[in-house]
Amino acid sequence: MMGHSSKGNGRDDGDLGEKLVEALPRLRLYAKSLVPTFADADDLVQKACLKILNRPDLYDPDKPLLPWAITILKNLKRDEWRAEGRKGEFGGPEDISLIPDPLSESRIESNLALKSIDRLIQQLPEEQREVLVLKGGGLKYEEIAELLEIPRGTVMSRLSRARKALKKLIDDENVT
Amino acid sequence: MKKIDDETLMAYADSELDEEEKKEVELALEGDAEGRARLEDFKVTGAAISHYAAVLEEPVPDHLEDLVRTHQETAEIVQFPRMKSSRHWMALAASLVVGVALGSGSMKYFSGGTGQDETQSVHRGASKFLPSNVLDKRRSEIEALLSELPSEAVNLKGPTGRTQIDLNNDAVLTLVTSFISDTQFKNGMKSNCVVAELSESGLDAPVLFVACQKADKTWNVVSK
Repeated sequence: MMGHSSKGNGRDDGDLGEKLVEALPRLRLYAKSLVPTFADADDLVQKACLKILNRPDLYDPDKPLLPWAITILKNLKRDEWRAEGRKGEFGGPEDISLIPDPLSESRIESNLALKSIDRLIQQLPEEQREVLVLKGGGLKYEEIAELLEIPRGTVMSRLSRARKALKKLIDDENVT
Repeated sequence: MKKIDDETLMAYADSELDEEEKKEVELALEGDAEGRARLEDFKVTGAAISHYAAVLEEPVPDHLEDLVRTHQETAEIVQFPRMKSSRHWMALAASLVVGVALGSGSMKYFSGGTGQDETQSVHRGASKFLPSNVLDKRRSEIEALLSELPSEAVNLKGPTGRTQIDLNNDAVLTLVTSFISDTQFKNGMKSNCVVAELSESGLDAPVLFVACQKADKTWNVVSK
């Protein structure tokens, strides 16, 4: 027989919902490192949420939610990338292209400084993009290490390499 | 003097060093112009990427938060014996639907005559089958059905507006909530979207998914 929580539910799923709501801002930030536009990032987060909500049995309440959600996000992106390779298109519902959504433009993408740095970061490998974007969001090395489930030292070496590559891109941009 | 490594300089630029380490770096940099130049580079990139903080500062789009909150509000638990036949499942589905419609908290279902006492706890939403397979089989049926519904039926006001529709072969579609999305289709149009649940024989629990209306008013199941 299942143990019963104070709510009378065998499984405290309200907790999962609460944790997921809390995780949404950082999940959106991380998702942006995987895809070209902010609208794509939100699409990916929505898919990850549906996956998590449809399979709450896969969630281990003893572990932090965010690293697990990030793994799901990465796998979804990889599946889409594979589908893209097969079909020659982005794995979205229909006419998804890399044309920026004008409605998103009016929100986050109206931030020109963010947009211009984001354009440069797109040119770097995913391993470097993810540490750059998380660090850019204001996270400490230790927090990034926890989310990506890698040692703090690895975060620092990736981030340092990424920053050197980024500096070169910024310089190239300014010269041309 | 030994060259200060990049990671230490970066950590200094990012204020991730303790007081003692900071002093060591400052001392070493006094006679190291090359080191100071590298430090400057880390400051430049640190400032450049700090614009991503805007993503954490802006509110999460409503439809994402609604999706999670709505599911949470409707979440409940059912306990039932492990069932083999679809007849038993249908009884469960019926009780589930009634339970949800009445807005009851948690409920139990015991089926007689299965010859098994083993009970399991299954959360609504926890499917034993890959949701995508189930949804794919019903995709065209659901999309056709949604397109036939009057627009009032798919504009729900929050989680209380649940509408249930029977599908072929004892499946039930429940409209949970609706929202306007500006991200589902990249043609610059806002689209009407619904969060819906599919209950079907063979499924222990409903599958949650999102469907959105395209510019030509037809519907598309967008999540799998």
